[in-house]
Amino acid sequence: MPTIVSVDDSTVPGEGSSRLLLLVSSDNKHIVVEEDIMSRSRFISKQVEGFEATSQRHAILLPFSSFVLNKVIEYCSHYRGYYLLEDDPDAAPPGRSPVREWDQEFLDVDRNMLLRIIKAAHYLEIKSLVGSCARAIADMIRGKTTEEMREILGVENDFTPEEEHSPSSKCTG
Amino acid sequence: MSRTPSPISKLPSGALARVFKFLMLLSEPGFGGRIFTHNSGKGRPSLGWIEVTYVCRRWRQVALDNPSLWGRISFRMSSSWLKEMLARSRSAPIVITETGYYYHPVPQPIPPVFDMQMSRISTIDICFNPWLLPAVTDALNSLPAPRLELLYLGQEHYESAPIVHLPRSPVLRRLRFNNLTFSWKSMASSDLSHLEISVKQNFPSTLGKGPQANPAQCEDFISFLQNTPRLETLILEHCLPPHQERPSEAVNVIQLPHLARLGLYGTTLDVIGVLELIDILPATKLSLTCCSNDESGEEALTAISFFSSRFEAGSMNLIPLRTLALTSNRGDGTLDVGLYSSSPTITRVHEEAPNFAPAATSSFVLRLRWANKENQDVMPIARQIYSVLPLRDLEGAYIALPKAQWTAQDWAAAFRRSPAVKHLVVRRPETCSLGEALFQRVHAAAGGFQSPAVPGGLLFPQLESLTLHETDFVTTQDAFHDVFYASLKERAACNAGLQRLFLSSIFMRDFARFRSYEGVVGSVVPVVDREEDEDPQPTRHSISDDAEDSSEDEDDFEEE
Repeated sequence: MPTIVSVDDSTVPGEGSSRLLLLVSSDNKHIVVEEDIMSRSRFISKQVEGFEATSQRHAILLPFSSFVLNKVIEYCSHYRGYYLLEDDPDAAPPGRSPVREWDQEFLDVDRNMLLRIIKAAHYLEIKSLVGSCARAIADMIRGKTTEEMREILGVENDFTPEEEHSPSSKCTG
Repeated sequence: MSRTPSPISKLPSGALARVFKFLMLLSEPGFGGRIFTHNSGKGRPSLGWIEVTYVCRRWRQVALDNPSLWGRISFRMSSSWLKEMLARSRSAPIVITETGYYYHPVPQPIPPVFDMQMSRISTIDICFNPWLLPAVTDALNSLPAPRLELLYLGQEHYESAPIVHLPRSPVLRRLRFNNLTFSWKSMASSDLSHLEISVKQNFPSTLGKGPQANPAQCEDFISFLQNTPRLETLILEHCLPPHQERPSEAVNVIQLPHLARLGLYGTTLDVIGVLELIDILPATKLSLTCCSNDESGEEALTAISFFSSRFEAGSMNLIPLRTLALTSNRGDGTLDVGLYSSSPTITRVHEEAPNFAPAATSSFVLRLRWANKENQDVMPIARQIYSVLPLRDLEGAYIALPKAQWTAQDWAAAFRRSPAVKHLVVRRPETCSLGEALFQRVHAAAGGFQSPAVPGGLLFPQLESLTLHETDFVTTQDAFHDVFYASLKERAACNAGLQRLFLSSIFMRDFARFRSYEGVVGSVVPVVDREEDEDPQPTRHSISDDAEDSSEDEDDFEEE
């Protein structure tokens, strides 16, 4: 559960359809963003519903840095008002459909940043962004050996020699 | 020394599972197929995405905790793997895909997946596999498939196969048959949203054709359309009910309110017959191919007349039409007259000239191909086609011409109403006429466009890319280069210069000459004919020294 602190209306004015939200990152940066922009996040939407139930608006504290949060906001701003199939809970997953060009450029970041973005997107429940990051990571390790996967993503091999061969070895024939 | 934990170790299991799901689609385990040849360095073959279960304990656990990852099976797996995958998939839907052609039969006997697991199967996508087809059709015809949503079945060549009936599935939405025989009657009522049926031309026993043709099939087809109101895509290739067998009593125009894509391939009269049955929506994307054995071209003219009347009446909005193909087949298998849609070679050209790809625009893209072996004068029909079609929004055109028949005036007549063309692909530009046309000025008085944004009233004022395909006939001719270079230079001077000139299937020695064009066009780019899609990075200058081509109009080479 995120920590929620009360804020007065002068800090976060609420006017009509373009109400503002105050997001607070783990490095204590205060970022004001239009509610519409963040509506792609199911987590934020649920928070906003909570505000409406209590007639009180709060700052939302998030467990990732302002750098990562700004990237997520950039994504949500770009797709503001767009219907994205991946965010539709009733739609089938897009499968092999190509990655959107803008997403490719947006996610042209180093490995650690990519992993931080997907983690933040997962926390904020932005399915489309999780999907794009997951696809980017999958592209990094497709066709690679286990050793190469470990090296690319910095994963430690914690198997015992027996475990390492256990799950599928009986089927390799 | 302790290592700092990688950020991926903190990644929630749900997000990691999403990564694995994409990997599953991108890197399927071949279990004896091509993917199996990759070696992990541990003395065992690669397992595709299943390699992730060997990375670390957590990855293995996440994979094993997601049954849907394991439901995607192949009959190329060994029986022990198949059994293991089915066990790990628990009750998740099963997806069976066997789309690549391979020459070895599946293990015999075929594992009893269809009989035992039909209640779990959500997808069957099996093409080019004559060994599996009978088992699948038998199971589908005898067992209910309550979770089957997608069924793609096909074979490369028509061979005797059981007649396929519509599976007993309440959730079936997508159906595609290639070279199979089935009955429209079995599909009388369904919730299908996508239906694609194609058979090879002159198929011995196609739907509604040959010995099986009868009026009842046409009635069944009409009944199918009337009872499938959720259709979004309907593509029928060489399996249209014959026009002459249509019931004589009047049939009300059928409403298909969700129809977004309609593709019809057949004889001119059969295509027109189906179009007359359906209320075509303005937003419906159409791809129509009308073929005829009629040597006189009268059937082609009938089609032109039909489309003309539809345009004039405004009853069919053909602006989103992507491909219109009108062919007059001389009966010997050659195409004499055509507005033409596809060829593997040209597909490659489109890939290399990505802005030309029809998918890049929702506007109407027209491709033309003239392949007249006997130099029959097809220009009269061509001129009629151009005079009828709505070409104002045309953004791309593909043109292959019979030699010496396409003059600069013809270019102007065809495209003066098409100021939006950005991408032009021309096959075998054998005369100087293209060069002349590129600097042709089109005057309003001559029925052309007039726009202050158009520099000098040029033909193709917005042309960005030009692809010259198989230029080997002309590139040794100085006259061609003189006219062509001068035209491009003039366009550049009018601020209507070409951004990219693609060259396909040319001799290396000629490429050097085209390279000298770079002063008047943005860039000159060779299009490499790739043997295999897998070739990761074809060298940019590995142009074929031998303009070998296996296309059907090879005779034209000899005539040179």
